[in-house]
Amino acid sequence: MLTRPSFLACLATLALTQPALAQDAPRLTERTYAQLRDYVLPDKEEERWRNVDWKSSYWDAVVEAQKAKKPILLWAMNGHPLGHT
Amino acid sequence: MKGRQAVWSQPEIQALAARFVAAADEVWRLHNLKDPECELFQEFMDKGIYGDRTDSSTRQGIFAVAPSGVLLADVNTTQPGPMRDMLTRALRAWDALPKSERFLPYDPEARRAEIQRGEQRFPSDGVAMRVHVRDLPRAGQPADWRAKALNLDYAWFRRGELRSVLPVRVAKRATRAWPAALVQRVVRLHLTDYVRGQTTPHEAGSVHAASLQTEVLSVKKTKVELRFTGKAQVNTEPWTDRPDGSRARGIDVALLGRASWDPRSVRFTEFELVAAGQRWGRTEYNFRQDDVGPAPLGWVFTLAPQGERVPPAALGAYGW
Repeated sequence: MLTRPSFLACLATLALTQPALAQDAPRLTERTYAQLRDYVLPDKEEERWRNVDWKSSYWDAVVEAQKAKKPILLWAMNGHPLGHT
Repeated sequence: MKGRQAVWSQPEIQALAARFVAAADEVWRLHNLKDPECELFQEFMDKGIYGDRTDSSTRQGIFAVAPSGVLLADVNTTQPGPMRDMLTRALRAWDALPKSERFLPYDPEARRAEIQRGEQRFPSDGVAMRVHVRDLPRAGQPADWRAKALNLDYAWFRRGELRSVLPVRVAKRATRAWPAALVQRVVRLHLTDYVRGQTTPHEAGSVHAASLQTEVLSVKKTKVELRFTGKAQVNTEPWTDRPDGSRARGIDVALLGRASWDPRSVRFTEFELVAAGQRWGRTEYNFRQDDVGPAPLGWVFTLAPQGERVPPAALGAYGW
């Protein structure tokens, strides 16, 4: 399996040797399927933000904080911060 | 979205966050609607960074509050330094806050039934999927966070909808076209360009071609292996709100996927669907003003972990 950097290197080589193809999407085929899938999916480093034990609603945090006698940290964004933001 | 890597992945910030009950939530609803959850948010939202900006259309930010709704500190940043400072100030303010002011005078669990949220629309037999999206490699990517930008949405399915993508007679090499309405939903609401930020669904009339087909690869008593193939071609009317020559937006992508179906439990035990191809154009908030393409983009649908219930951004367009 190609890692993200090596996949990128292959594409960069392609871009250098065939400039006309530089903006062409890698074609999705049975052969490229796993490479493209793994390139898009987050790696371990990119999933570290999930180490924070996020509740997905403010009220869930209010309920738990009231019981646990702790303050609340609320990350509030346009679009759900745990999803499409 | 930048904050996921730049702030919340930092061990020092995570250690501070562990001293709170942490929540992430969509702010428009909290800012504008009326129920106990929204009203509690509205009690403190203008007492900090928005105090002199109450005409702002948003209340995005990171707020540290007591369960009672007393604001401890707030900030709106994607930098770890200001976040560390805010969390430290908040913990000091919490320690200084009299116990009599820390908590609600009622049990908040008792008011949950008054709160209306998207998560409540998750079907009792539903299946949630994560949909990751990222730019695919190309020459000329900017040398900053945009080069590796990654975003995430959720797609929800009723179990019957997923059953409908299986051939009526499950046998090797049997095929079935996915129902048109389901393909339209996947393409219009989920194959959108939100790599760098929020976007809107493709308009219904902009889908010029969309198909998905299932083929049975193998059949065993406990496992049916499937392959999905398809394509989608979308071109939306030009974005006319902006004077900068913004172009129409669209996609031209192939779809390919694999799944395992367990006939005994009547559910997918594995599911992947990859879409990859070209995207072009932009929308108001997706930060493509300097990068309207055409350029390569990829999406991956995978089963979400059990219990993950973040609603799809376009849930309102599901018609549920």
